[in-house]
Amino acid sequence: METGDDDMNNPETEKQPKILTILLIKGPYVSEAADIAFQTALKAKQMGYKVHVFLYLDGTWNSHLTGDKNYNNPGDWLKRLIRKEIQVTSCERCSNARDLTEENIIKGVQISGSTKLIDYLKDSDKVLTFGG
Amino acid sequence: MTKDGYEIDLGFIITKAPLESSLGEGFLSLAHHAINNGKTVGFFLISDGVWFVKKNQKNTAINKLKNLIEKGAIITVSKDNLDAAGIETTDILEGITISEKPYQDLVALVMEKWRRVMTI
Repeated sequence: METGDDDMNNPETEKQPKILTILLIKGPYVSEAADIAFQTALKAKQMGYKVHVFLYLDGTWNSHLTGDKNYNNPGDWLKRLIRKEIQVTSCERCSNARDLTEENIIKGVQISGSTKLIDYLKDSDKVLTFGG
Repeated sequence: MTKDGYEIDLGFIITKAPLESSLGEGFLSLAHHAINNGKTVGFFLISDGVWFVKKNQKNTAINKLKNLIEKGAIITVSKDNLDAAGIETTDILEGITISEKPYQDLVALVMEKWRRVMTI
């Protein structure tokens, strides 16, 4: 047996996936920022990374795209992130300022204070900001 | 290779066209300074950022980009967005890497090859 085979079965030495946080600060239909952010998140998750998405400032408007559309819909990408168990958080103050509540946003998006963002930034290996 | 195992010191993602935001050209200037200080740099151009690589543009960004390529910067461009913009692969600067799987390549660069990353 080669050295290290035992370690592979030891949960304490199991390698944790790297963490990517994506910060989106622009709303839908102004640019491709939302599409790029959500597609990057999905691909990163598919590739085995742990992914957090934080909707900030006008980025919170993306959570409001609850309806179906017969054209490109960043809301559909967002729903897909939720289905893939990517944690999506929307800034509480930014949401309140735009009258976005848990009743009028996509189910599964969590409204939380920006301290959550600080936790994400602290824990992440990489952070990407889209919409700047 | 950086001390902590990354291939490239500094990566830049550009999503805007050269004249859409001065930050794109600012990134090129920053990359020049980084290279002149012994750092390695890479770029990933996606969305309207692909316009940076089109030949024969009359703007200052293209000369900066050519210079960066000569100095060893690794520039990758999204094929999907080149196609969307109608830019043929024969109409882009030489020395550019074309990504057929842009999101896969982008994530791999960000997570495994670039030590630090900036986006616009």
